[in-house]
Amino acid sequence: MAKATVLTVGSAPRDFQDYMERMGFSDGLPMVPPTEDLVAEMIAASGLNADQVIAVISPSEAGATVEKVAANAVMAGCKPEYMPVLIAALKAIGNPTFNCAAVQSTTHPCAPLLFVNGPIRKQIGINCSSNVFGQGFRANATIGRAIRLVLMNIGKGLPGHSDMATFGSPAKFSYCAGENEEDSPWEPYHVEHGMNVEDSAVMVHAGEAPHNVQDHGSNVWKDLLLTVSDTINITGHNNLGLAGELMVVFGPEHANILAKGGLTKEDVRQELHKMVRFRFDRLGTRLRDWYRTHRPSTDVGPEIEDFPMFDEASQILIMVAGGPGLHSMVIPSLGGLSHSTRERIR
Amino acid sequence: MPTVTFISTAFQSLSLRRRESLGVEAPMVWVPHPMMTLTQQEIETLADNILPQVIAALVQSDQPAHA
Repeated sequence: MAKATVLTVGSAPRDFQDYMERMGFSDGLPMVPPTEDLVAEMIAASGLNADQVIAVISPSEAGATVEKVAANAVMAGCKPEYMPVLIAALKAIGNPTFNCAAVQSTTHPCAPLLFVNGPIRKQIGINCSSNVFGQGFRANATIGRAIRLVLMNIGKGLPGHSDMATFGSPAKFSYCAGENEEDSPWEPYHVEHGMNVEDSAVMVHAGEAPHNVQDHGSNVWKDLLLTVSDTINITGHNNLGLAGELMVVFGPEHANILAKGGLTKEDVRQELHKMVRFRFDRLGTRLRDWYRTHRPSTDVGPEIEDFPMFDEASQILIMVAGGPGLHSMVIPSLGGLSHSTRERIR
Repeated sequence: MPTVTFISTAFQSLSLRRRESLGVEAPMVWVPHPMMTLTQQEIETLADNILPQVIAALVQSDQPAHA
């Protein structure tokens, strides 16, 4: 695998920014010059060899070596201790199940959403609480940004050429959060998926930007899930036509209403699966016919008035994150073209 | 089995990059963008118009043909 190329540019900060922009290596924001010493420090923090390939990134199908990932991590503003999260996240993105080629090249505005679990959240300062999808936390901001730079600079997901997103999304700059395990009434996501609570892990979901679910009125689980299910049950997202996974990020206060009602995560999934049924008369004729033929797993026939949004309850991914307040988030996905993946952080 | 892929002109750049990165010889026929909103009559007219390019792409060359 080819080593990263060493370049010499002018010493003024503007020279570096101009060069990166001219070469198409930029996400549009200022970047830290990846000097050899900073990259070496980042590589060392990974505990891996510089030329080790972490993942093959589409659409270029180029190998993301530790060295090249390290250079992008420096440019994004990462601290060296973030490297293990980046390595694991890129393995998850390179997993064929995630379908990086589709995520990178689609017209849909999805981006790889990283959710981090386990002790590493506290060790490196990943925000899991108030403003979890917002600004103010270096680990969240720069890990997510480094992933985007890798997707652009190694995977060559370049807007208008190979990243064909009609609109894109602010989430495509950076999209990284931590689960608020401490305020969750349920087992953490990675434990739900067979890991130990002492493990650290990252999962990746090809998500749209989050959509808020405000409910300050409901105090019993049935009422609250009515609000959540109706927010999921909209016409324009990919999950309607292509099924696949959708993430619900419950705020801790909403999650506790559900848990106090006796619901486990699996109960929530099953209830939502039952509740989210889409009426065909909300669709125009052509789209209705198209969905009837493209959702063969649904129990539809000409006489059926509605159909389930999801093929199975397991397509509803559940996280708990955010701070105080009676809000949750719904994050539709690219649909059935991509499946979430996860990796243990080592 | 010989195959040919229809791709609308808006996705020409992406399809060429993918073909190159995957290293496959994939005959392509470009058709005007957009395709998804065409009526049945327009689709049939388009199909009639590109048939020669489709046959050529299948039997003669791996080079893209333009509708």
